[in-house]
Amino acid sequence: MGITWTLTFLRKISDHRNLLKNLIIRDLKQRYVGSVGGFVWSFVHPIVLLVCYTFVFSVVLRLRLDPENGTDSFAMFLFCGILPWLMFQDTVVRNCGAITDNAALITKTVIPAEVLPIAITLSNLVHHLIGLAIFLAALSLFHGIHWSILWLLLYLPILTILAQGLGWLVSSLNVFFRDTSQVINVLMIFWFWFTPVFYSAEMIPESFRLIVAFNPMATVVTGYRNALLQLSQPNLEQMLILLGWTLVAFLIGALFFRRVRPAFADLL
Amino acid sequence: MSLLSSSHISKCFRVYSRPSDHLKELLWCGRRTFHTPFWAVNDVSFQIESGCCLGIIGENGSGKSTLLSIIAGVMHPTSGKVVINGRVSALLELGSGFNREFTGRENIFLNASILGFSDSQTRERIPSIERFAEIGEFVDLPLKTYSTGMFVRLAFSVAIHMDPDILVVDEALSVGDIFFQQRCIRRIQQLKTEGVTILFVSHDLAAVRSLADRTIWMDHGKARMDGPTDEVVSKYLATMVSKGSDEVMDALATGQALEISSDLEVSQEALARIPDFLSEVLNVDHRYGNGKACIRGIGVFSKEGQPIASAVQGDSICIRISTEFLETVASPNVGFMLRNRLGEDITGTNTLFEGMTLMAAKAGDRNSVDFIMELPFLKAGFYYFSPAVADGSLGEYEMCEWLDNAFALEVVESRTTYGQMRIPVRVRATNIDRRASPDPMGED
Repeated sequence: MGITWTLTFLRKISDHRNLLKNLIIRDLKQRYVGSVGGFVWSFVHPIVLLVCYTFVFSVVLRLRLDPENGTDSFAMFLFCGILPWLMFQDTVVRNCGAITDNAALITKTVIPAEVLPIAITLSNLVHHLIGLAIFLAALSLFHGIHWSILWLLLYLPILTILAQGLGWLVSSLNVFFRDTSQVINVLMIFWFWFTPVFYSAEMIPESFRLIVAFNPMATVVTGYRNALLQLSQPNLEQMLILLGWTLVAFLIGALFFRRVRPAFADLL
Repeated sequence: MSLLSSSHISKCFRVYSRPSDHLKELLWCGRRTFHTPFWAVNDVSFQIESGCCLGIIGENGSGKSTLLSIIAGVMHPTSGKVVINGRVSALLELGSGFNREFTGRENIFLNASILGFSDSQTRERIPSIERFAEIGEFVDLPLKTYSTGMFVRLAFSVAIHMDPDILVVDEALSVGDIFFQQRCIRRIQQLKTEGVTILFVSHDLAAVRSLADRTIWMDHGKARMDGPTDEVVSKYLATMVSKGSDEVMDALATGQALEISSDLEVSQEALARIPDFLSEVLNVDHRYGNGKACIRGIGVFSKEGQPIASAVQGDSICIRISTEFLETVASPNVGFMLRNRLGEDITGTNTLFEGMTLMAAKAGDRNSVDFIMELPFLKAGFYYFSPAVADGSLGEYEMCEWLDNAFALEVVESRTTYGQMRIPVRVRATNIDRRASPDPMGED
């Protein structure tokens, strides 16, 4: 049953790929609507971030990392982790409004509602890829790129699917409780600082390691860093736990969304 | 097999005291309930064959719009089933699904893709959508720069260009500018002849009468009556009148006597205030003719000679039609047709019919013809003048130019008008005393 359901779901998505495409374009344009620079801003943001990190951490604070971190530049180290984190956080936070912000589409047109969160996730993915490309350029200039970055091909889809699962969950929850987006915003602050973005997983004292072990984003962030800075290869055990989390998040999100979708038009 | 069949559909709005109750109930999968039910639509069944136009009427809150939303697939019925064999294009609220920050063109693409159109299919339709919407270069500007009228035109145009098998329209005809309204009605009539099934909700009984073959009267969520439009509408009206009888009686009690203005003529001074030759035609829906003469302007003026766009029943008005002749026209005849907003002819006249013979005209000649009349006691609303110039006699002529709906005049009611128009009537009543002698004039 699970398989046929997944297949019909994928078919539905594929039937609406043109809609999905237009929604993604709309979302990408919407960020910069009315601005002269338009899409250029998507490139400016990560560059500015990278320059600022370098200034603060490498020039002002003169943080130097130990060689086991793969780079002595804290800015590079930080950026490796912040890239996947921002993709995750932005996707989940923006998905809160995926349904509620499109009330007119839900109540007045026959739109397949599950496409709206997907469009946000994929549009974020586009931005993520831009950030990644800029970082890779910086990396090749100041550090060097290794084949290990191919591991990103594994982490990237996992990150996307994980975020999508949570995205479906929060987008539908927000229809019932408008506080959802507030809760998510607060939750994300906790989640961020309990994820090894500003530090590496090894720096955490033994007694707190469990927090990281069950945090899928810790695995993703560490995985990104390992791949980009050519550290260790993925650990099978951690990878399996991550896959488990991702699958659970995706299925719960999708099933929950499907279950409560008929009520959207009544509530909005 | 019918195109659309709905069997026993009901929609229960569950009234929750808190949104969280709604979620709780969904997660309990119906084993526990946390709501008070409100049946917006209650056991409604009907079938429609293709090419049929179904009107849905009823008071506010009777479930019309809910029913339409269910048919359009936007809402899920609580029970019952809707089976549709074809593509539904719904216009539930004009411009819904449109984003005001984006251009008209971007919105067209997004809307079309919701209905499953590919971008290339949409691209093929864009010229025709633009033409019908008449928004010109605005198509590439954000919707926030649009006037309401342009917004409405674009939304309607998109909806009808999506090759619908079924077009669902909710109250959409009552918005938008008057010329466009009329064009929408004509287009719906045309779609009907092309075999498109139309479902529409309207408070405008005149529109329902002229468009719908069949009408459903919704009353408190139930289909109170379903049948030929004329029967249903009359029954509905009769019920409404008896329901609102107090109102009707009040209006009758306060009404004044009809007055027929004695100064039918618009004075010479007033006429002198009007430009000799009008050179503006506000709107042209359609024109035809051999082009030997052109109508350059039409205007309606008050008896003070002021240009007007609305007039009260019984007002004296002057309709001036200015014509330029491009070739020789031996026996010119200038006239107009007055139509209501459904495009039905109300009345018309022309110079020959009124017993006036215009001089033969040669290329370059210009003239203006005034029709001075007392505005009939028409039901309030918009009426359209279609001016024309022809060459020939009343029986045999060649049309030089005919302009459809060139001027719109809003008629304002001086009193409640029942039906299409009010006729100036004088009433006399006599009390007959049963006990009086057979000859009422005998005593007293």
